[in-house]
Amino acid sequence: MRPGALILSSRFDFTCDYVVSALRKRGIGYLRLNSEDLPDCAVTLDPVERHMSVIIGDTQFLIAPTSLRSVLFRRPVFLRDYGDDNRTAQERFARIQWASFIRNLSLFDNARWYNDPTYTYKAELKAIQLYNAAQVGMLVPKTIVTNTPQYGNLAVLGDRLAVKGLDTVMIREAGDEMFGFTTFAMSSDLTDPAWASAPTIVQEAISCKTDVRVTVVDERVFAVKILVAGEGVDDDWRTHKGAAQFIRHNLPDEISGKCVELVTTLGLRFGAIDLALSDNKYYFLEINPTGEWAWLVDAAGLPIDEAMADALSY
Amino acid sequence: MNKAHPLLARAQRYPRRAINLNLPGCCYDTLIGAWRDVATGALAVELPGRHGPHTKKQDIETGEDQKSE
Repeated sequence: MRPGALILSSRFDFTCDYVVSALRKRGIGYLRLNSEDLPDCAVTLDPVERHMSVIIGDTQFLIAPTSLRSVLFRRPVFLRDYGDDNRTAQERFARIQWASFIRNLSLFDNARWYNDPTYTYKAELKAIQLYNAAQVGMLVPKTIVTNTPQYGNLAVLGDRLAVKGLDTVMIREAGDEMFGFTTFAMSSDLTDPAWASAPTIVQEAISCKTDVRVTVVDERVFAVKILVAGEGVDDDWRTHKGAAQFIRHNLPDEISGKCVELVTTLGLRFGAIDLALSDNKYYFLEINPTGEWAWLVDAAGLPIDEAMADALSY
Repeated sequence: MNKAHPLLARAQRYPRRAINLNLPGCCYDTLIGAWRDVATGALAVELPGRHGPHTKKQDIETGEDQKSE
């Protein structure tokens, strides 16, 4: 078999099951490779001829530039250290080598990648995101990245500040998992010398906001408002995750166009963008190049699975 | 520098939950690349109620996008 689409994922990435379902309905040949299944496959890659053979059971899949049209890349571009690792040396070794193998599949660069890990790596960086959002004309809250907010010129950011990690704040410790949501503070609260131990994003807080999640697949744009008890929430909506409603939302054409332009500018074909709507203005908060979307298929009826399958089939 | 960074001090702490490596009533079909309902053979994602998590790692992550593993 010579699949036209390659899905790089893991078994429990159920989002890919949505895509598989939609691809099957279209009759598009695909191969889904999960990292945990790779040791059970016979995999051979010829980097010069750009040819890969994958044998699963009795079935051989051949990946070649002439037949491969698209890649859905759902693997991490880098491995975060959460602070514990009970794996054996062999398990860690294999994990690292297979992760590298997956990254090496960037070799098939004539296929359309959703997204190319090279660009994902850069687009994950929040400073890069904010700069490029401003460059394409989006409203961006005034922001500084600092480890010394007590010395920074916070006055330009306003009184109420949004404070968040420069990267995901997620640490495992003693059987627990800690997750840092965006928190809010007054500038006068940021006097603790402990801030110096790590850089932090300090941002003008957007008040009276409604969060808007925008999912971009090529030129197609899907948006929802995120409401709790029928209203927007001023703090991090994820702290109300169980009560959140996701309501389809029609973005103004100008904003929709800027979302597509941002995704393109970052070298991506897919992006999950968080906006804040306040006083009829849309503010860019961040973009996630590997953001989740499957829950929006069911919660808001957004056909993102169809859009992704269309993109991979093109 | 022993004091926790304020973002870490304010982080919410959750008991870490084990990931259930099986979807009840389903099995993973490596060739198809999707979970199947054992009883009917249908893709789990096509069943009413759509068996399974909607984000990576079965929604266990406390944030939206725990991408690391």
